[in-house]
Amino acid sequence: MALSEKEFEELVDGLKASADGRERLAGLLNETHPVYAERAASAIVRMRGWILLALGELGVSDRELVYVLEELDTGREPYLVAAAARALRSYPNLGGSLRPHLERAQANIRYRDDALRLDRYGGYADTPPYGTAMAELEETLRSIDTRAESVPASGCCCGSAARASGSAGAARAQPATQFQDHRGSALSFAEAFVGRPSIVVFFYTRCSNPQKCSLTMTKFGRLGEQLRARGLDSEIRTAAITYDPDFDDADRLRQYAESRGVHLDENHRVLRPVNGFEGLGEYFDAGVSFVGSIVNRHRVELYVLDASGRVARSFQRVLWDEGEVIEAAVREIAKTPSGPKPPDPPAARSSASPTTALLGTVFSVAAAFFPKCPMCWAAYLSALGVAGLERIGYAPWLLPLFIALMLANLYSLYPRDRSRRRRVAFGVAVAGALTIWGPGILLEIPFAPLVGAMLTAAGSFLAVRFRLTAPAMTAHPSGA
Amino acid sequence: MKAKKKSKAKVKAKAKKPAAASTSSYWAAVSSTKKTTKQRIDALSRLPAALCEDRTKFNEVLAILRDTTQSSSLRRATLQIIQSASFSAPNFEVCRPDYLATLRALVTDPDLELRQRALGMLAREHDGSTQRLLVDGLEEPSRAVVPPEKALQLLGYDIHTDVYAIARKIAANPPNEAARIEALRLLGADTASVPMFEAMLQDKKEKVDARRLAASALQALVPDKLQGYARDIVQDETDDDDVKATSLTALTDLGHAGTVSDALYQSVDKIRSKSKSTALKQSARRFIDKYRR
Repeated sequence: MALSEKEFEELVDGLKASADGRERLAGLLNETHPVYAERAASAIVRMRGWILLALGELGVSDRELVYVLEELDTGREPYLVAAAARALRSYPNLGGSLRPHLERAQANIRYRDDALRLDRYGGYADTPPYGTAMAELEETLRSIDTRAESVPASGCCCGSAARASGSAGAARAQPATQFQDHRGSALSFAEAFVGRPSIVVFFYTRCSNPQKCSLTMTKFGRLGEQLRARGLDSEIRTAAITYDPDFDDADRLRQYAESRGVHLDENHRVLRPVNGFEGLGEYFDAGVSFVGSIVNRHRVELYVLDASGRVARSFQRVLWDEGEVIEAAVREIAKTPSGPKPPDPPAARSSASPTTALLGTVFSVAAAFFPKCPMCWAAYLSALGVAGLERIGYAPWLLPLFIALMLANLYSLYPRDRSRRRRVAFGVAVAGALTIWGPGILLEIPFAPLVGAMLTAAGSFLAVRFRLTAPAMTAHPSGA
Repeated sequence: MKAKKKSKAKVKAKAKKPAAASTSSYWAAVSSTKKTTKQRIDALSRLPAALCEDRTKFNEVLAILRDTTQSSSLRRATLQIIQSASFSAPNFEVCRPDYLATLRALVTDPDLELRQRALGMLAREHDGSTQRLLVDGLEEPSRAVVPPEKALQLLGYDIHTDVYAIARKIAANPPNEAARIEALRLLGADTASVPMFEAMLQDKKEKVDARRLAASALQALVPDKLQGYARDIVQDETDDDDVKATSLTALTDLGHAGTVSDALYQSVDKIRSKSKSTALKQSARRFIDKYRR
């Protein structure tokens, strides 16, 4: 640890007097700044609070506003929230559009407030006089009202200026990170993110701030619901990546995600980097810092990747809007060059396409009703009124061919995932094949081939139907 | 019958909220130096619901806490009653900053019990100044406000502290066994300590308490690995009964049938019928009940 907190306090005080102080102070608010490495989370609260107060003295501009709003939206520490509220009063475009952030902060901090001395570094007080975060928030809200009365509508652009969303940065080489997903399957960065646009969030299960990771994952679940409702869930992948891969194993990740309404499958995953986390962090420019193996500070962050896995858009610090994120991802679909999509991972491959199922059914029926002797052959053709009987020879070799094709049909219907409905369809088709083969062909029981053929057709029909309706079913797992 | 119910309801209502007149008399009694300590505590104990209604009066109560000339029993009772009131967050909202400021004033109080309780309440709030005070005490024992085992226990309320390096040092070279155990407990959240816990669990010369803590830590940090160690321990006839019982609990509660081999099942069955330890037999019975074949 290069800098003591006392030295850090002096550094910040010095920057207030420097010509480029505001810019350098904002630079210190980046979570990946080495000054935060190996510090307790509570020390980082003191440090960031002091920076925000310094920025407040210099005057917060559009560029630093996002750091202030980040604390108001997601902050749980009274000192930081109070510092942010005070700093916001120095923002020249302070207006009504910022009120929701302050009201959110009031809701977050109401039952966690503390005795504060904002004139002191890390100023939690033990003797009066002191202020509180709620008092600072109220004063800033009053300032908004006062300015609204004294200044005519200024056409404030605060909301959009504050959005820390970025567009595509410089192209970077894909990281060599290997992931494990919520089912324990291994996959590379390319397997996870190349081929279709993706939406990526970061979180960790030991996060103690419900306004950050827990809320991020809840919103991530809602985002997934919206993708399914719009039929985009097979076009856009989603992934939530943990910052804490040593602790967050596949089971923990799955439970954490599912308990927050996240629907998981082969295109929508929760991932733990099993190696190469550093490269991954650099690729995304992830805003996280550590003390030992434990996260001590992180920001809220979401990335939209294009079909080549490159960051196309980022949403950081301020909680993102699901609709806006989806629109950004949809724009990436439009940019994706048309061409063959890479194959789905094995689990995602369809187990019965409509064409193969239809052909399989036809062959099964053919096997069931295939005439077993030359006389039967003649009788069949006569019954159907076929002219030129002598010109069509008896062809017993067709029977094993039809049986082979019937087996191929069963193979195509075999469920390669855990879908109960697909297993039912397969079972019905197997019952049909057995009925054709045993009672129908071997025992030659009347009507058995017909029953078998009907069962085979029903099995194939069900498999095709379940495949076609699968996205709609997963959109509402609760059945709602 | 109805009249009886009505009177019961009245009694209940009275018990819930004292009448305005009696409330003011309780307040007066709390502040009165003429009353005995017992009378003052009794008056205070009737006020939790009203404690935060009047901030001036609440600060008078806090003044009792801050006043080192007041009796220890009065101050401790006062702290306990305020703490009870603080559980009702919506009613306590306005008073919370004053309360936390007073707790901070108590962290160096001459009364050790009061000091420890105040530190405990602040540590549960992840209070930064308290954490810094506790870490300072671990680094420089002459500045410690509580014994190292207590400091480590309190720091363990927040996993996001910078105390892991110190805890590792204490675990390796502890001032006493209690401090070592608390250091190990704290390190149970640190994935970098997994190799240390693995070695500890496998070391039969290690103390039983430490090995059991190692098992708990591994369960939290690397549950799959613990299952492997637990299977080995259970099948080792020379291992300690208590550690075996802990391992069996892990296998029963968190394992699955696929990992229970015939050899393991037979070992546990043997433990169930032949072990002299009641706790171990009981754990074995639970295992057999779950994986019966």
